[in-house]
Amino acid sequence: MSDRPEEESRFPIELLAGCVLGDLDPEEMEAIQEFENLDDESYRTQMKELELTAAAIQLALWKGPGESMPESLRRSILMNAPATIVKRELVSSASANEKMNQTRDRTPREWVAWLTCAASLILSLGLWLFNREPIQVAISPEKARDLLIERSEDLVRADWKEGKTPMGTSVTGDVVWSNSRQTGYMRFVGLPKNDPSKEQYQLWIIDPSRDDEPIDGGVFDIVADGVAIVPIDAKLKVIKPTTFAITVEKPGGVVVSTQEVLPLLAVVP
Amino acid sequence: MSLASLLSVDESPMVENATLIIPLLARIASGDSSAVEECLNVYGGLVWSIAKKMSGSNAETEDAVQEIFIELWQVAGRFDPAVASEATFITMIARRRLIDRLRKNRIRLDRPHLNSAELERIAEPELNPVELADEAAKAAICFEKLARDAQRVLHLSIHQGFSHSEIAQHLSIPIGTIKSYARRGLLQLRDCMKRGSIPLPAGDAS
Repeated sequence: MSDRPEEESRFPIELLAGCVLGDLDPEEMEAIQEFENLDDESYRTQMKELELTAAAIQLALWKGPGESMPESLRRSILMNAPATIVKRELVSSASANEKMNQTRDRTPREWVAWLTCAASLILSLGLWLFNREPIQVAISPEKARDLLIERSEDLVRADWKEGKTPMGTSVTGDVVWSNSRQTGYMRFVGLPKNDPSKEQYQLWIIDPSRDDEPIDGGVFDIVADGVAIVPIDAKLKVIKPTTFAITVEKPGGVVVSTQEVLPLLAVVP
Repeated sequence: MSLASLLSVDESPMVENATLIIPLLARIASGDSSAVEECLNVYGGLVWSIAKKMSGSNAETEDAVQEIFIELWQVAGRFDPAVASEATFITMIARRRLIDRLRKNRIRLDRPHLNSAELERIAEPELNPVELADEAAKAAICFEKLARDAQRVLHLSIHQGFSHSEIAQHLSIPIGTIKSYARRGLLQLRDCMKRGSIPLPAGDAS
């Protein structure tokens, strides 16, 4: 934790404490939002210190788990984990590619810093590989999808069809989903690559048993031609999906889609 | 101490960080899928118990715990053992997500009305710094240096998951005073953990 009390006066520190404790009223929320928008490093430091303090005292007061997590929830978290980890890796590699395309404007000073950083990373990686046993790597989306199909008794499968604004090219594939595992995968053949800096694909899961509003199934990018397998990242528990829909949204996706561009639909038979 | 014992994970999640060499979150960040199940074994109960106290129903709790672990897998690479223990980092992520859900969903927690004796019992913090590791032990020591009112309010707020308006209602104290106890108490705790002492403002001692 940093020790720079002179910086505290720049922020209403009690407001930060209130935010960490979750007791802000609407006016205070607006005030804190302004500070958040400033994107100030010392604000983030103060906030993190207070969050860690609250977490530490919560741990100190904790008396151990009186009741275990339900087994079904535990299974669901475990099943979803590889998808989350794999997806993060895909996003990271896409970002890395994007960053590589942005190197033209670097100044010589930036190049020196960049090369120094890269050299350190290579050295660290070398030392890490030298000192570590091989580790188990998360399975690929293809393999995870095959396992899901093989092992799920409640698997639903639906083929992609044209939505209200077709792509103009032939896109095929399907979506598979297991309700008990809360896990699924989309398979696309021929879905055009997107430019993540301009737009991203977003999945929506229509589940009338749960809500009138579609469930956000996560944003994703298509980075290569051919077949793509994409893990579903449902933000809420899915009860009984009836339709899966793909929209094209601004980078990062949206909370509620206007469905202006809806190229693909998969209706569960 | 043998290498085997150094690498073993203690059964008590409160003290496991004392013996764990490679943080689970670092393993998860590097793609070691076996660490995911270990992480769930070690911290699942902690996250579940925190979520239960800060969620409206069982379904809410389950959704919240799913979200917390998904976020955890995503931010595992940001964990820095030099800044906090793994348990503290995970608790921080869980608290942040739960408070965010309370705020967004405007969940009103359904709790039975407590009489003064019951409230007195649950408002009484129980700490045993000897059993705790890392900053949780430091936090426990600092917590005991706080004024009694701040202790009770922070205990009801952070540990029991009561909102400040609920605490105000139960203790028959104005909500502004409750907020003040809680916020200043948290700031004093932070300062104490950084400097090892709590400067008591005038009129705050009890």
